[in-house]
Amino acid sequence: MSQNYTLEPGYIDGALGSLFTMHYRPNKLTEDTECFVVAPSFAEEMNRCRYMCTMLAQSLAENHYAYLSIDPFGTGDSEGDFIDADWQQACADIITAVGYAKKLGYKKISLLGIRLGALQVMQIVSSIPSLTRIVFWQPVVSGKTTLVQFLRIKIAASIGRNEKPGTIDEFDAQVAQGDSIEVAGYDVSPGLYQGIKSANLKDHLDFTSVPIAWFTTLNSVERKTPRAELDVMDKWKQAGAHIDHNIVIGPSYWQVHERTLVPELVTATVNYILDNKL
Amino acid sequence: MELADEIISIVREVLVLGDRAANFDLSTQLIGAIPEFDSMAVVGIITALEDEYGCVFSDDEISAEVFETIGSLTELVKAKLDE
Repeated sequence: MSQNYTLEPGYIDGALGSLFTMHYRPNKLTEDTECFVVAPSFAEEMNRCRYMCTMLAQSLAENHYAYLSIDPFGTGDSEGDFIDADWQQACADIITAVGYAKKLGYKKISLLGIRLGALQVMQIVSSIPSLTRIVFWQPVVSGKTTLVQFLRIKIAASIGRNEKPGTIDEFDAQVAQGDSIEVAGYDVSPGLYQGIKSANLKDHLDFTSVPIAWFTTLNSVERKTPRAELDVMDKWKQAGAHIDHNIVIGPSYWQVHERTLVPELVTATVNYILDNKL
Repeated sequence: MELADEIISIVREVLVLGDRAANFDLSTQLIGAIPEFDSMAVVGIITALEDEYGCVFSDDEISAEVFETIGSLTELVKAKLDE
């Protein structure tokens, strides 16, 4: 099979240690080649999204787009343990990845924000000049709501075991004391916990010139786009944002057991990008 | 049975069970019986139910009893809707 790209794994220097990057470099590079830098979700969601990301990267690269993923400090194959992972540091690491993409020669750089990664994209967007576009996959609107869902995994995991499940309020108090909290094998630091909790898409209005492609995956045609997502889109559009909302029907790939894939989302995203050259 | 059918459809969608959910009824065993029913799936189902019915579950409602069968899950949602 002929391939239009080269896979270049590597490490770059971050503020706290080496960061693992995966670069899909198209063989045909021009001034116009657009590079997608990924802001991933985190913990188990990051794992469950990984194969979808690989499929997207391959498909984009086949179509002469570049793709650069980074594992923020303390996650994936980067240095540091998960307990070292921190919200602000993850944002800084994505900026580092954007800088690396520039160093690789890309003139057009875009950000792909997946789930919580979307909140990180919005946090850093104003510090990245001349971003080409933003792509969202199932963006998290409220970090707080998502944190509650994440903590519920801890409660749900205690089902069937002889453990006291604990409550969200107890977890909150534990973190407020400066302790980390273990959820599904991930030691979440207070910095990560509070960063997620205080992030909300509605707080960001400072990006209006960057076009946004927003992909919502719904389980079936009977389901509707969550109200919270529509509210943010309305608010941003009123502020002058250009948003293309795309709906794809498929399973919740960020949530359900591994290898649940939505190839339709990959196809829809790549076709959208091919149809909307910037 | 209407509510139970909706719950079955939500469980089928969240766990991506497809045809395997075709014969689900009130007595169908969930947690411990369906391999996909892990802790993330439990949270996924709770989130989907909250979205669908506009209700909020409290921490102590996430228990083994609730997720035992389609019937017990349906009872919980029914109680929420009657509140």
